[in-house]
Amino acid sequence: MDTHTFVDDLTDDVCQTLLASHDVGRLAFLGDDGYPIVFPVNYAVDGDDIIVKTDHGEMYEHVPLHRVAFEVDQFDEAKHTGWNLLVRGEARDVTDSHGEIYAMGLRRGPTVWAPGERHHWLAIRIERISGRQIVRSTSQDSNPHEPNGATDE
Amino acid sequence: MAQPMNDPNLDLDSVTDSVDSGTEILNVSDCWALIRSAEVARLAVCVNDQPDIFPINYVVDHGTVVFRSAPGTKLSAATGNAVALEVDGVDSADSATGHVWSVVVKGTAEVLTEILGVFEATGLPLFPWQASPKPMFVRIEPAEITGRRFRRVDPATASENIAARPSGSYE
Repeated sequence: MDTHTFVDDLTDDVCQTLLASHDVGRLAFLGDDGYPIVFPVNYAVDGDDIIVKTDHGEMYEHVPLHRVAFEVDQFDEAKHTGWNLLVRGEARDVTDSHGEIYAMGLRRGPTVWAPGERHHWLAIRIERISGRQIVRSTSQDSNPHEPNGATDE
Repeated sequence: MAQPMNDPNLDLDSVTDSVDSGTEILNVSDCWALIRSAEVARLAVCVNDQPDIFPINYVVDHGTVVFRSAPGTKLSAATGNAVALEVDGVDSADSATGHVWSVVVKGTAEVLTEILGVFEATGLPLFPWQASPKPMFVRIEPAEITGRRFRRVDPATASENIAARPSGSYE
């Protein structure tokens, strides 16, 4: 069967929908040693912010008040298709003295998969969001503007 | 400065005490086995003093990671510089009960320019998913590799999480 793949930019609305409907992303920031640092994290979206909880020293020392990159993706390794989002923005520590999230009413906190306590809440302002998908054009795939990941499994 | 191998400097977002917290620190050979088991990684780079991150597909070759790129991309701009490659997954069909793992390789990315190196890389089973031309081969020479694995916290026992759980967040 004749197949070919192409890359399609996702609209802003689709990017926001995908971001809000997933809960694992990768946070990249710069460390002391000249290397970028990247962590998979659980996250939740609160308005214009991505909320992450952490007790990891590298993260709460280097992320607040710095610009970070945040990536979310979903790939099908068998079909070689998938999509990814890239968010850029400045991060800040939004933990208050009670260890609760500052001025947000805790509407949504991220559900953390990893064991251990976390006392720091970080907010990443969604200043720029972009996304792409890799589409295979042969099959009777659904509308390429509605990537499979747009709906939760 | 490189951190010692037993320092869990990669993290699914926290934890300093690896053993008591239920997080297993992976040895280097386990890390490589997991990297070889996957196809997609995220490459974190520093471009103009800003962090950036891209998904790539890659292969492991003689203790290095090789991927393809195109001239003029941000990815190619990162070559010659320090990068961090992250690969993760769940070692079970059921992501709600399986072990979650994550491996990070810190190293330097170099574009292969010597003709012999390019010939060798051409023979690698490396097939970019996108059809756009990617004539460059980029090799990451690892300086440090770290990994960890843990069983996903059962939400039924994580009272802290229940209160804050957004509905429908479990995949």
